[in-house]
Amino acid sequence: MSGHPAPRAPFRPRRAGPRRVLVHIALFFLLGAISLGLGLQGRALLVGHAAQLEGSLLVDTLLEGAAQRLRGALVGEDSPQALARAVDTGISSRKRLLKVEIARQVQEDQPNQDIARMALDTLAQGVLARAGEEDRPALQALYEAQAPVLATGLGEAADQLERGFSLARVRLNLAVGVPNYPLMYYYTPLLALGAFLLLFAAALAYTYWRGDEEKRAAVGQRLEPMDYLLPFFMGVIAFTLFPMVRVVIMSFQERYRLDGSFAGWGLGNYEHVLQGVPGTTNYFLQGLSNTLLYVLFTVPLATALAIVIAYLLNQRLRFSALFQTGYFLPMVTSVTAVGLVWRWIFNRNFGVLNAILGWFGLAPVNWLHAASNSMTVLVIFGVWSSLPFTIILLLSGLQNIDETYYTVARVDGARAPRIFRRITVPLLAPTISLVLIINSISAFKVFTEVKVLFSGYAGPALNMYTMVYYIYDMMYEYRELGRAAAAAIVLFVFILAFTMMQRWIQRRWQYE
Amino acid sequence: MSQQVKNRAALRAATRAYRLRLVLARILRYLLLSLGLVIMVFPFYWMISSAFKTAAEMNLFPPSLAPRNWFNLDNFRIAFEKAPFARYFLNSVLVMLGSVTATAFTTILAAFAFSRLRFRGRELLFSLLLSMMMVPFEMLIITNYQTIINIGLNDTLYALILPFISSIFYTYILRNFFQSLPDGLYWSARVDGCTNWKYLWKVMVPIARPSLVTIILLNALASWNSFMWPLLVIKSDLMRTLPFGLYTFTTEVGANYELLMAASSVVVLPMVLLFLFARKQIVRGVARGGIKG
Amino acid sequence: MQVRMEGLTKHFGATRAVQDFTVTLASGELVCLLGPSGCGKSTVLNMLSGIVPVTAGKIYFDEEDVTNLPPEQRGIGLVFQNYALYPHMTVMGNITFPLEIQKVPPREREARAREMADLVHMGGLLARKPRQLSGGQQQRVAIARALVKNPRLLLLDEPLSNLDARLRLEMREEIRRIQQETRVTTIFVTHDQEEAMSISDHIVLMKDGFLQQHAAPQELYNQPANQFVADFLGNPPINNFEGSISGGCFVMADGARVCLPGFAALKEGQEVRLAVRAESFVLAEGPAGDRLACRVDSVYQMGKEEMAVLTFGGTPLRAYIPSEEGLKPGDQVHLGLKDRGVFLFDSHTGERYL
Repeated sequence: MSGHPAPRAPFRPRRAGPRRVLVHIALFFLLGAISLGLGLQGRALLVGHAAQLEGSLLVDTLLEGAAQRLRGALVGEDSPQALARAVDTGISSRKRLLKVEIARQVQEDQPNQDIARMALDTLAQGVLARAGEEDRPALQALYEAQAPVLATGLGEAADQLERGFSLARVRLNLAVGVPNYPLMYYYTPLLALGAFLLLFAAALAYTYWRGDEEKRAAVGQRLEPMDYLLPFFMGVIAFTLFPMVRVVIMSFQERYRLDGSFAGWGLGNYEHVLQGVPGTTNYFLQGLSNTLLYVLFTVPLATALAIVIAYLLNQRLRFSALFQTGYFLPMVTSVTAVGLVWRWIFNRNFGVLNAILGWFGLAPVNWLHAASNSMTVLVIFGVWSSLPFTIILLLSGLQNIDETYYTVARVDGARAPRIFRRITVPLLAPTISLVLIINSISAFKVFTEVKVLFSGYAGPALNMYTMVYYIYDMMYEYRELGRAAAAAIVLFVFILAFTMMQRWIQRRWQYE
Repeated sequence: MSQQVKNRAALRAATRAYRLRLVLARILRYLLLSLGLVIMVFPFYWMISSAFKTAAEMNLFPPSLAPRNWFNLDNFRIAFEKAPFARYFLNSVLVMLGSVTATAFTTILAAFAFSRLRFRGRELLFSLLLSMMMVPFEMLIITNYQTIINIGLNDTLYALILPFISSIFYTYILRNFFQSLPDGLYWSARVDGCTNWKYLWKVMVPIARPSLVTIILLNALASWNSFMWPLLVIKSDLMRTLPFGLYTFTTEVGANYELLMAASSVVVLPMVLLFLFARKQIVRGVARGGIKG
Repeated sequence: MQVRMEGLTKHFGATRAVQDFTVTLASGELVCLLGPSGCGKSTVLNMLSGIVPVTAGKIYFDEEDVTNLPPEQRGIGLVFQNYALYPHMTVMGNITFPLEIQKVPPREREARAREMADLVHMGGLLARKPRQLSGGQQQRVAIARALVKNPRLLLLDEPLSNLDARLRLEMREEIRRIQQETRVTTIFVTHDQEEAMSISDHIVLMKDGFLQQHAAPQELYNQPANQFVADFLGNPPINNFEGSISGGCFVMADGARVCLPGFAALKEGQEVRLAVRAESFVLAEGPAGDRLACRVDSVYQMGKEEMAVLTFGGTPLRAYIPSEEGLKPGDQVHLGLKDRGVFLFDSHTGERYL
């Protein structure tokens, strides 16, 4: 019995739960306070901004309103020109100083009625000063008769303006460039978030205070998944879930603008997108038909070629690394850069394609600037660039076919064509259908190709719109977000249909 | 007896014909593949060779196959003078690094939560996420554009990174991989007092390195080559990424394609290098995921 | 159809998979290629089918030299371990496929396929797809497909390995039955000696690429050609004792000895191994020269008999003893040897002396 170590206490790992709860309480409290503070600040800023806005609006209303009403009262249809001119010059002479005075009184919160009266009086004085001797008494009498009514009317208009002035509308009409715009725009969500976080922190604190070690650990355990999921879900909610819902809503908001204003609810966007304006080209429908044609041509062609190439590649080859690198290269390169090369290749005067045509004695073709050739150009480029990805998938599908099937067939005497027809293709069918669907979905989204090949335009004669190009156009050029949203929904419906088809086909053709 | 001789002769002839067929098939195969290879690779060759041509050489018809001077770096120099390509390059790199790091971070954490941690509604939540996976970005782009402007981040590099920090697709892939790891590994670590965090970073992530590398590669590719989103969100010249910068460069130089080709080569080169390095990984990742890089 | 292999050799680079394999298989027999993993049996099968080219040697089907013939011209039927049924075709489609290749008219195709399906007892399931069949059913279809073109040779590669134990029993009898009804020369590969023993007409035992013995199952069991054959067949494995010959007796290191008449003929000091099957022991009354003195270590009940583990000369051995004897651990007993199942092999070469 030499040097036998003293028995150690059994190993009990420390519970991590309680400490986690404390950390969360502190964190949420802090974040909640910050959020709340920011929200309050945003609101305060907005209120101040609104007050400013309101003030200047009020001043303008009173000023212009007074001028208008006065003129209307003093000058009739049959009044002589000289009189009208006198009234006008009289009014304008007093305007500048009047504005300052109105502003001051508005600032001092004087009742609108009084300010209205004062404004009218001031302007009237100016008119009288400018009017001719003979008109003066008449004008004065006219004015004094109408003054109360005018003042009342103007005062009420100003009051109505003040009443109708809401924080929400100010917020919606905020120009984006205004300083502290994000804070002012999002003050409500910030407040809500702050309140929520504080409440949550309070609830946690309560549970902690009342609970014992076990309870605290359990709560800490429940909190853990949240920590891991939060970063991910923040991104998903903000940039996937929220936009999804928002776009659907937006598609029903007519004349929706970037600053959030819109004319009203309705199907106007869809009408415009699907029916267009009579007499003008409906670019969306053009985009729809172009996109469908593009998909119909590119996808089957690329798939057929890819099957052949994948079949050829599916052997023990020398230089297989070379072949693989070459065939798969276009997949990793930017469409923009490659598109430019193709633009050069398609060039009418110096392009390689026309040079090759020349070898065969054919006349050069105006690829890029003749509308009739646009689809061909796009399809060629589309097939070329979708080949690598398609080949990869098909090659992998081919390699998944058990060798023994081929051996058995060979032993029975089958030759290569029969084997290909009766064994390879049917067993490859699931992969082929997958490839068709995936490529179709990608092809529906064609945009960059058009933009690059046709130098930033939708074709030489604006004939190459695609659905996504339309969406982009609506957003960027026309600033019609509502229409863009409607178009996006239509696009989504198509893609959804294809995706559903994919799922259905895959399920039906499962062999295992 | 003669029948036997005849049979043997026929047999030998059949065998010879069979072998000949095999050889012919082989030759045909290499021929076709090479032809296809040329067609696939030709645009790249054209890009590079044009990048070294002078303006005069570009205006030849039929076009010359190779530049007179393969070391003519003039076009590159001029391109870099006319547009801040170095800056574009830097922007692209920054965005790629930021995007890849952020996405990897959120993906790893979320995949871990969905595979290892148990909480109520986990499976339901995950299937909801999956259904959101098929929503195309082109549809979300409208609101995201508005959001970015509202937050005041448009025309910054953050705008190019933020909307993409959560990828449902990559999380799906990684979560599947995590789930394939045996439970026993986890529990024996737990019994030793290992926390979830440590287990994730010290055990799961190293084991998942191939999958992670694939995800990172695909993410880097997508980030580098993205065009439509920067087109929308970036206005000032200095904030552009390479593809976008290249695009605007075209409007500046118009007909001087040799400059364009030089610029394009610069844009394409890093990804080509990456591909040469990590070809097997990328190909395997694409095949497995069934989605474009 | 008689199958004759002469000096068959296969090298994969530096690896010698099959060495100088010479064997003649009679027509109409069910022959098993048996051996441990890596012994070359699958390679021989592949050379017979033509999938793998031969390095050296010749193969004759009924005096016709098929060594260099491609598989499709040899007239063989092949069943793989995983059956390789075309998943996208029905059972009927699978079976008719070989006939389709041979351009047999559709009606005849169908008739022959039905015939085959009935033979393998799959007649009612012709419309099913492979994924709807059990393992045993899939194998029947694979066999039907291989037989439908009336091959002169049927080759099966580990046909029963993918089945569970109970199904294995049933299917091996099925294979036997089918082979009997069609009388096609059939060769199948397996590593399971019980399987081989139960249904083959002849067994070809291989090790490390070499032929060990080619004989009927009973002969392999009762008259093993060498140590390996004796070790490979039999369950439980044969008991081996290391020792040498001294004075007409088998002597072990610790002095334990047994003397049998045949030993006297051997060279003095020859190092040998005494091999005795578990069922070849007899419980005897007292010590004798031709008996082994053993101590009982443990006893396992097996119903009609018990299997006792005893020690002789420091080596454990297993013996079947009738239950009535009532052995207990620690008993000192004497075991006699029967006539059958007792062999003497050279310690180094495995050559058999007795």
